[in-house]
Amino acid sequence: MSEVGSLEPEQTKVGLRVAKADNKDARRFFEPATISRISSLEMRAMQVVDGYISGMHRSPFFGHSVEFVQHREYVPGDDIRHLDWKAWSKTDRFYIKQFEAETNLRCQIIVDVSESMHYGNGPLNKYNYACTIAACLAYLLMRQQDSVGVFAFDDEVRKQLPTRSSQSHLDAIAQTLHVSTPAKKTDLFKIMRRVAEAIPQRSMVVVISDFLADRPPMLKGLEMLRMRKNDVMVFHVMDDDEIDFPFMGMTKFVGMEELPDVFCDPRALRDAYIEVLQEYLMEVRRGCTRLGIDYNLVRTSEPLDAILSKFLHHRMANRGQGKMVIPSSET
Amino acid sequence: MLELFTNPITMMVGSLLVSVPIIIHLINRMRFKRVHWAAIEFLIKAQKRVKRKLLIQQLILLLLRILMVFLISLLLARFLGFSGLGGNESQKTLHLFLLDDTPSMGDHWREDGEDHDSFSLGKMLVTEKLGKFIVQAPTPQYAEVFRLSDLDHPRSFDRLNLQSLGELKAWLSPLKPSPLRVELKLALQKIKERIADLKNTEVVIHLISDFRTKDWSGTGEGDLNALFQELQGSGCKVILVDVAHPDQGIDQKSPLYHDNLAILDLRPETRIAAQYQLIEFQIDVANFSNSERKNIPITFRLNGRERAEGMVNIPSLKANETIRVRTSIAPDRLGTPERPLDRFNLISVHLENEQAGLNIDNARYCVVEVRDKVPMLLVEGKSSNLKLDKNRFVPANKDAECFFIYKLFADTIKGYDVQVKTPADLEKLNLHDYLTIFLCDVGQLSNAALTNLEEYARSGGGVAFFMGPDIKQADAVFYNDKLYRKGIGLFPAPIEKLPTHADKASDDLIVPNRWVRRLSGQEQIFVRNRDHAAVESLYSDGNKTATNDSRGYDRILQFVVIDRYFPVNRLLWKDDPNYGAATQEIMTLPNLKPMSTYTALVRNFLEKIPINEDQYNEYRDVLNGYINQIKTIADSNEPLYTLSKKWSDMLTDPGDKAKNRPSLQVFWQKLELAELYREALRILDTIKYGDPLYVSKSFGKGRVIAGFSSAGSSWNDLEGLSASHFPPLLMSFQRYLASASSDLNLSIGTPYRFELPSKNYSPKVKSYLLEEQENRTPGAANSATAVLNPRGEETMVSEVIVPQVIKPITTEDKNNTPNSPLSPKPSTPNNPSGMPSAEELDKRNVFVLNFLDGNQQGCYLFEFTENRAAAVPGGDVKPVPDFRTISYNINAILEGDLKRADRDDIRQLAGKQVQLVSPSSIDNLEDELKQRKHDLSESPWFYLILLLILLAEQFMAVKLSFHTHSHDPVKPI
Repeated sequence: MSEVGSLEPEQTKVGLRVAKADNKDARRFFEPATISRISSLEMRAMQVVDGYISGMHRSPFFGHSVEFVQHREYVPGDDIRHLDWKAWSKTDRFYIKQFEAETNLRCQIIVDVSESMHYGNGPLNKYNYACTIAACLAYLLMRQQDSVGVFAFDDEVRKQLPTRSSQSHLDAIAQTLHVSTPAKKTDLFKIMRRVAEAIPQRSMVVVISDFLADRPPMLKGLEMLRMRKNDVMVFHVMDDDEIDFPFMGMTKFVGMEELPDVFCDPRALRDAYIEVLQEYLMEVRRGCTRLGIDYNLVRTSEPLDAILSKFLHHRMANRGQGKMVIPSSET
Repeated sequence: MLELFTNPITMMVGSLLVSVPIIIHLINRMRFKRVHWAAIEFLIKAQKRVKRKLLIQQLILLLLRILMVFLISLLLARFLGFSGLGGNESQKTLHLFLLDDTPSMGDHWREDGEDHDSFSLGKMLVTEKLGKFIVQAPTPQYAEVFRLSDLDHPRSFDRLNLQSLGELKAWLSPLKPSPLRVELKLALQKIKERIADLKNTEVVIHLISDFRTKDWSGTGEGDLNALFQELQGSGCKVILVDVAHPDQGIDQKSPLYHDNLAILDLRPETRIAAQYQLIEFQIDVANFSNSERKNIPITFRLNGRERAEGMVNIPSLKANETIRVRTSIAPDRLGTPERPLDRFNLISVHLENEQAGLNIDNARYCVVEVRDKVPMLLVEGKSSNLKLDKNRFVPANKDAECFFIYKLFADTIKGYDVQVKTPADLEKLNLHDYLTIFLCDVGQLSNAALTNLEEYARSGGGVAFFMGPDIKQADAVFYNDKLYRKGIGLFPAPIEKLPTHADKASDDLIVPNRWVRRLSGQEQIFVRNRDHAAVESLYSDGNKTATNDSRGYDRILQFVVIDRYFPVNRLLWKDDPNYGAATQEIMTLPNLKPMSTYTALVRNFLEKIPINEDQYNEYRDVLNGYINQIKTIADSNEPLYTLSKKWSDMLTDPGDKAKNRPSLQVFWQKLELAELYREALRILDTIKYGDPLYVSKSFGKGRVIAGFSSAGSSWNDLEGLSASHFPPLLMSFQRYLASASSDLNLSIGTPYRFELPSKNYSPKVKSYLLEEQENRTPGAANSATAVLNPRGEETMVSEVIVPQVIKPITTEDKNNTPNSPLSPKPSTPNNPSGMPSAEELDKRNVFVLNFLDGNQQGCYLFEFTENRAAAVPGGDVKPVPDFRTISYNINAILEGDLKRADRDDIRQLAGKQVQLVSPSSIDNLEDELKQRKHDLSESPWFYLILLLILLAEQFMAVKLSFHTHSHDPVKPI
């Protein structure tokens, strides 16, 4: 915390404490109050994840651990250190004691930095909000010795950072998230496919985006991640304006990401807009639920610490339930 | 277009403001915020989804706002509606107030301790309501007031303002209901003439009246309806203001009205009476109400002084009925040489203490001239039967035909100044001095005498003719050609050339025949109608009530045998247009023809009686009995009266229930036998009645009686058994003839025409009004006793000379003004009034006075100046005054009945476009008379519509989100 503690917190009208820093300063994403609030929590994988070091997360591999799982008859080649001599003395047969191994977590945080993410009327626009989430999560994971990698994308992967668990990796993550010139469009399918291919082992994948793209390719991309046994979490970031549509008076809405402009009286269109929006949100939520993806719709006006705290508590409370959702192909 | 609005400029501005919503809409489109928006996809989808609906809603909203601005503009500009496009906005308006001041408008009542009457209420409404409304009109308003009683002198007022309204009020204030009755159609005709030449003037006719049934129904309805239609057709607006009490409001049907008692008539039995002669007065009283009235006292005044002996009390008078009562009094005031007019005694009767209704019809007036002796003229046809006695002719002996008449009136009955003259005297005498004239056995008259006699009768005199032996065949021709003149002359019937039994051989049979006829049981004289005024008194007691013994005088007549008479030529007489109307048979002699004359007629009729029909089975036996008896009589040589008696029995047999004998009266009353019964009655008359004996005729204003036998004993048994019948008959005739001039009791306003021979009269005439003046001395509780009639005498002092309206009618005048009121009316057979023809007037060279000013209740005296005295040889030429009187009273029959016309009937008669208002609803005219224009701001519907539009606009505005909800997040521009 000392690295980011130099930043002066400021109370915003939406209750967020944001780092008062230059937009060009990537460290602004480490929001001290949020980090303080979630530092006592753990980021738990909802399902087994692959890791190469021992950690706090369940592993698909058996190893050294205190958690006894089962006996198995000895077969040649087994490590005799695992023989249960007590069982041999009782049964005169050789049984191997098997323990559940605990491993570390590899987490890939995929952040949408397209132009649409730069909309925001409050203290934080969607982009900032998404990056802050990403940074906070990265900090949390790295603090529990998990390794974190980052993808920043718009219509293509703009920046990529491999997974590391060293504390120095945080600065790199922040720098990766900082994108000065967002691209116009978002191509989620292409991005997801590339991310899926780039992740060698099953990992935790956190996607933070406004998902303003075509739903079928987007869901197809998410499905692709899931099919690779990744624990996928989605942070659907939306601005309050986008949800409530509180505009009055004749307004010309200039389309982002190469979409056309719309000239209208927003009050007249509000009901229809909200209706269409709800249909869209419902479609996304249903798609995620169907794929076993942990879906979180977050408003940029909501306090980030509360969002993350709630999310982490939810993860901790549902630890292990992920096994039931996606059956492991390995024993 | 600008006249459609009170504030046209506001409307012009408003028209411009109509475009404000459109302009705002356009400005709003120009003023917009630019927002970079990520979720544009959703906006596009939302826009596609609601685009059409949004467009329609926004258009509706825009229209609502435009409409709202437009309506508010109309409201502020005070839109008058398209009815305001009449083009009459600056046209002047003439208000013609037709004020009904006929007597019925004096209908009074007491309310809140004060006396009110319809006329005062009408005046108040004119000045306090209608007038005040009118002066507030923005356009020029003029007024003219027509009074029904004085249509020729309407009062015009300058442009109505508060000052001229004050003048109108001051002018109306002293006016009172007139006693003159004028028909409404005359007023409407006058108004029609008044507005005929008006251009560019709107005319509003205000008829302020009480709308009585008598005025709004009856004979004049068609004319009234046509006049109303014509007036409304010419663009006049008609407003009917009903001021009758009780005020029923305009929606009430069958309006209530006040009860009223009225004296319809007061008629003396004679216009000239001797001093202290008891004169009978006939009073008709009507109860115009729906309830019986009891104990109605009628007071009697002679020359203004109440006379207790003349007072009459009517014990009971049923609803809507008329009663005739009689009273007698002896006028006693004679004229003196200094005050000759004192001999005209003013008589009045009064109904006392009537609480409501009309007062003016509670009094009635007439006048009786009182002389020392009543002058009466007897003209004897044969001067040799007269002798001079104290320079006056008297009958020399019983051979004089006027002997019995003279004896009766000169000797037996006192009070008559009976003068006997010869036919030649008729040429010179002023016959108007005489109450009645009896011509006895007068053969022929000179033209001058005839003209004089006809003028006398026409102007109200009474003339009686009696035949006699001196009337020869040539005289009979004179009677038919000159006196009868096919019905338009003085004599009532054409006569045969010779009397009955004209041959001398019959003289010997006269006396024996008398006894034969008396003893035959045959009735000798039939009185045809006992209610005829000429014989009525013969069958009634002193109060003119029919006596129980109605055959009293008939018993006397039973012995009266008429020996000779001039038969009436019935064939000619039936062509007389006056037959049965102005001319009536008083007495008829029996049919003395032989039975064989009617045998065939009788038999033929009897064959027609349907005795063999089954439906008449019950009458067959009785009828057969009569038929057989009648046939037997008809075949015999018995006198004709036996046949008529049996015939009469057949028609009137009442039957006998005890003996089961059917009534033939019932038989003859059967409907299918009506024609047969009428024929039977005609045959009965034919076989029963012979020639007329006495016939009466109304001639002009006078009366004539013709007796076809003699007044002396030459053709009658007046010295024998017939003597007793003659005096009462003569007295009855005298009474009938003397009351001829009672027609001079006229309704107020009725014109009267005097005709005087120009050679005998001066053209100057003075007229006087003799009336009662109530003594209003304080403390005089009973005005009837306090009056004491000084009024009539005072009035006589103020003489009025009307020289310009009397002038001789000449041929030149007649040609120049054929339709002038002064012109003589042509006399035709269809003119039973008997007015002389123009040629006759021209020949007679008369002065004519059309008296049109009889507009006050009372008696009018006319003093003509007669120059006859200059014609006396050797005498001094000295003008002699000749007085005539006319009594004027209100038309109580029409004015006294206060029943009010049904409002539906009024509307039907006056047209549905007329406005009918009452005092309680007259305020409804306020806006119309003020010409106040109604605009939209006075219409609650307009505000309702505006409110609905406002609500709709708000609803649409909220719906289209131009207004936010409190819970909605708002992102201001």
